[in-house]
Amino acid sequence: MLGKLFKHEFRTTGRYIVALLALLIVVTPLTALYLRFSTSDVIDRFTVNNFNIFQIFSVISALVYVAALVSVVTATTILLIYNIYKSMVTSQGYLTHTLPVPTSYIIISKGVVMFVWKILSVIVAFISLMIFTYILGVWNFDNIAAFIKELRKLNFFAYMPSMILMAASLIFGTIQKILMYFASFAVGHRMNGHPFLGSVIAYIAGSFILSIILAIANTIANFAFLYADSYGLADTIDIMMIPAIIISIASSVVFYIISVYMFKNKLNI
Amino acid sequence: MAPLLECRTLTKKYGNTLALNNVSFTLEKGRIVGLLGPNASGKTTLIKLINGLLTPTSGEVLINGMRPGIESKLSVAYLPDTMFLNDWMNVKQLINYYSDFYSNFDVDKAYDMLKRLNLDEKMRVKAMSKGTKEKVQLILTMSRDADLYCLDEPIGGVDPASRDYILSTILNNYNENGSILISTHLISDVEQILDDVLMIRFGCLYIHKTVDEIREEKHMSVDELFREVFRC
Repeated sequence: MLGKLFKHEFRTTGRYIVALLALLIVVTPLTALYLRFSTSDVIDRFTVNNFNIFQIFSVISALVYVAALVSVVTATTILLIYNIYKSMVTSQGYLTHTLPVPTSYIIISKGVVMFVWKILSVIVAFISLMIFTYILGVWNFDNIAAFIKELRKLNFFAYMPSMILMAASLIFGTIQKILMYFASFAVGHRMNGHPFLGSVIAYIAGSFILSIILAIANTIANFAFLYADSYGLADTIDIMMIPAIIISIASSVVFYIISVYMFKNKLNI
Repeated sequence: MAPLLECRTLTKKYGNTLALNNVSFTLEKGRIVGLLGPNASGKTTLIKLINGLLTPTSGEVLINGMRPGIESKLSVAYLPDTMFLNDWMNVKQLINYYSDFYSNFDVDKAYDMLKRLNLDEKMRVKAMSKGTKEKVQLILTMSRDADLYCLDEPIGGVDPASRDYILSTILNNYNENGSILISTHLISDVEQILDDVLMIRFGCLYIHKTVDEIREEKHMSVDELFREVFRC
């Protein structure tokens, strides 16, 4: 049943996410090539009284690219949150919650699909940025080796464990956020007649509590510096990241339990 | 053997509003039961409680002796009084969706009903008229071989010709070993098909009798009784 839930969830959400990613992939080379063209000497010939129409379009194309880049990451998140809300606590929930599957399966399938799309949108946005800057000539394949050499010189690879911790923090942070959306809807939908408002209030309250816990954990972690003889950048990153990861994991577990419990035992749609 | 449906002192409050008050009844297999009452009497609340979409404030609902859960969701086919399908899906995708999740969903029966309705399986829900959407929802619900069909206002807001289509679809396609709980306030349209009547008034169960008992004891039809009980 979990496999079937994944299949239908990917199909439901994939329609608009794939369209957004495809839009970015199409916009990237078009805007970058136009920008490259508009900054070349060729278009100087079209300057009349210090006014060049191609340069105006170059500003517009740069804006279009930035908008596409930002919208892929933000719109993906907003659309996915809306999909969860709609399928869990509006009339579409009548079908979702009458499927003969465990509540945990519903949350896991929707959560995993959201996670996959979010990560994919970030990867596509990064690749797009690399292609865009490559076309503009900011970097080329020849200077990658030189770049790696430079990183070695700076002893960058000594920071690898800290970099892995940062990546882990981002991944667990994303999982925590996704489960927090579910928990907010699970708690907030019980506000009679105002499920959306209730969900927003629950989300704000959850964020507030989490930020307090994180602040306390960071303060405690920073005491480590007081007793250290010396510390470098890697130590600072580790001391910031480790509490964040632990809190992300712990809060994810709490949000998951709240979501399953509320949707299973306190459903009110 | 446990009854098909049992409600024990079922109460549901929305804030301070009492939607259902201490409702108790049992429902056996093989019956067509009219859940009757005026608007806001608690019919939809009762049906949602049976389907586990609402949590009772007190009391309990048992389906085949079990509280609403995975097993009951497989044995209860629910038709809400509102549109609940993904509107981007077409008819074929909806049928695949239902057959994926409900092992008692009969694909051939669904296509057979669609054929009679002259509906293109590639038609998207968003392109359908309100009446057609309701018919598609009904076809999906009635294509299941369920123990209990909970139909919430299936003939509300449709023209008389569509009402006939809906009622004949229900009668020709339900599992005869199961039961139908049909909520409506259009009594005259359903009276001839009902075995039992559950009448709800201000959230309380007012009458639970067979149609024959009502006719014998009250010397009136169900429609006449309804008009008398709920006279403004």
